[in-house]
Amino acid sequence: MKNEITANAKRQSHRGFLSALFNIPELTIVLFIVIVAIFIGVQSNIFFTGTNVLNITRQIAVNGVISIGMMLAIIAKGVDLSVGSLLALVCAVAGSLIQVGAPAWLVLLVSLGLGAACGFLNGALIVKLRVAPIIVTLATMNIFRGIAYVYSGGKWTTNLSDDFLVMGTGIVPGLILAATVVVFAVIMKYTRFGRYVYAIGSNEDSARLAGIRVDHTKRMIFMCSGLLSGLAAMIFIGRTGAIQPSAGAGYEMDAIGAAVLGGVSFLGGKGSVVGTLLGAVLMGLLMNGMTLLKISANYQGLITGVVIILALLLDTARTLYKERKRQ
Amino acid sequence: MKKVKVFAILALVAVMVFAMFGCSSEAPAESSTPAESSQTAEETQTGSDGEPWKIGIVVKQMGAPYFDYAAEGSKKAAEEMGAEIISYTGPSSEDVNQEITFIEDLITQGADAILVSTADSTAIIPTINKAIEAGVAVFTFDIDAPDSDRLFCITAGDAVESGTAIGESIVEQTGGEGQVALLTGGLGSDTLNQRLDAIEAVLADYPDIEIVATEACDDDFEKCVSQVENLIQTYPDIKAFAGVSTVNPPAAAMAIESAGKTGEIISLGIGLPSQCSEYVDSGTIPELILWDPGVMGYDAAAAAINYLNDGSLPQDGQNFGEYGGEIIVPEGTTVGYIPSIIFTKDNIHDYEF
Repeated sequence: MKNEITANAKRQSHRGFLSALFNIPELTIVLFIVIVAIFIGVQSNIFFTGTNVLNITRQIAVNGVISIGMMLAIIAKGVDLSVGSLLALVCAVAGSLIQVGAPAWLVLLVSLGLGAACGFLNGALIVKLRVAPIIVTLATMNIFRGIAYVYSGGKWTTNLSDDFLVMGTGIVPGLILAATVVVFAVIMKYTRFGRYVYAIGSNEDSARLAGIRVDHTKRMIFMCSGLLSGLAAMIFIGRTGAIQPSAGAGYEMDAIGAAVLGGVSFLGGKGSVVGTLLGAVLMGLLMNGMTLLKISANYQGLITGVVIILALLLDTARTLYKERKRQ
Repeated sequence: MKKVKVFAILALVAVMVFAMFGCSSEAPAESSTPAESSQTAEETQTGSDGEPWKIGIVVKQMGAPYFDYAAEGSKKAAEEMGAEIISYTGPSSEDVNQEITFIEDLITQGADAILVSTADSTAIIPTINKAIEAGVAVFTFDIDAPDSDRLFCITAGDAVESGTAIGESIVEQTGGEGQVALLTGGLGSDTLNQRLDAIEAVLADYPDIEIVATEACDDDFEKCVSQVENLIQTYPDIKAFAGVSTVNPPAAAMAIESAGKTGEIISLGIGLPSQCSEYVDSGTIPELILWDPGVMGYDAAAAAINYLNDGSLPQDGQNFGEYGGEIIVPEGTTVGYIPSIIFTKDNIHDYEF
């Protein structure tokens, strides 16, 4: 009798643990990353070496930082298509400062400031014009890129001093990404702003009726996204040692990919910083792994696409399982 | 207060929009008058009267070192062949409308030939055709206007020729053995694929060189850096990277140097001197394949003078002397490609484009 009870309790707690596990939205992406990592690791003995892991952290840093800004926008039922172009614009301005001999700290400050200002402009336009973020940021995507070309005259800046390469070398990109993740994870979880973002994404009208300053929050969201693009630009400069107005083309798609893989929903109100980071990690693993596994460039796009679909399928399966459990 | 804010935002947007589109203002009205063209027709005769041929150069942007070298080359050809470069002009930033004005001015001034590098291959067509009608020999260089009546185009970057040059550079720099990875800008580019094929054709004769991988970075500098980092991990014995798009050699060199492999692995391929000079100096890029815009200007001017002298257009394999080199004219076309040259530590600082 007693045994039965404990067995039952055990089973229940076991089940409780399992269903709790299934309730973690990041579960599928973690599972998928583990599968992909094992798959690559079994076939390539280089994969788990320190240098390679360090390489991966550097390779995901730019996308990871941008993705977190993208996540904010998508959770609030928007999107920010201008991130890649803004990165180029910040690069162009930073390049001109570097050419006149500005110190690294000043370039960093100006980059962050310019990113935030352009992001704020996005937010202000969205709020004032009452146009969907996808339209406004599509326009500013072209505008920012255009200004980057006009401002730089299409020219590159090269021969950067080591001060500017620091942000792209060794463990620094990984540290910047980690710091960004921690800061935004705290903001999303423990601040009023974080909760407002989710509230606006879930139901904007209710949020407004509940007294949330929706417009202000939206401006802040896009300002954060712009700020993070500025930060990513500095990592980009450090990693490439060259400043080009064509930088960052298509980065908005990579960022959307990372966010969505990480469980951020385009329906709004759902998603997490950690999930987004994991999405960026998965994309980085794929790129790294395909080279390590000596897969031809012709197949790489195809394989990336299939893996993304598989990851999303797995997530759908998890959600279905959870719903059936509830019934 | 609110209205002020709205106004401020609208004004900001307006400024941005103008910043983008301000340059491309209305096209100037057609300014060709019968008087002008008859005057030109008279003056085109002066060349045969013993006076030197008058040649004008119009480029899409003044102040770009690339075109300054081209103009220098043209002047060299003109001096050697007894012609005169009467002007070298272009807009301060790419603007086809100003180019049109410059060409019209040259027609009025009675130029015998005009060399054009256009900012817009379509918008320039009527103006080129008008100049041809007025009896001026119009040659394009660098950027062609293939649908116009221009007589011939001298340009650079023949895919097979430059690919072969990269292949030979790999053989020479690796000593004919070792692992090599190829880098390209995009898998969909015809030119880049032809270049890759040409490299593989050269390397096919060297069984000790192994092409271990070909990666495409979509002309994304950072992606190329990442790919090279991954390739260095995957192939610890790799000796060289060779890129067919200008973004590849500096990106590979950056990755090689930050991996601490300077001196062990080299980066080769097509690149712009200004974007690669630091890596050429450090030895990570021992040599770079590109063309010399000076040769392009030289050959374009020489082709124009030959045409004025005897009505001949450049032929495939025609030699323009020690400096001009042999040009390649694909069959059935009126486009001539100048040969590539090799940039090394010794001459890369002579070029600023």
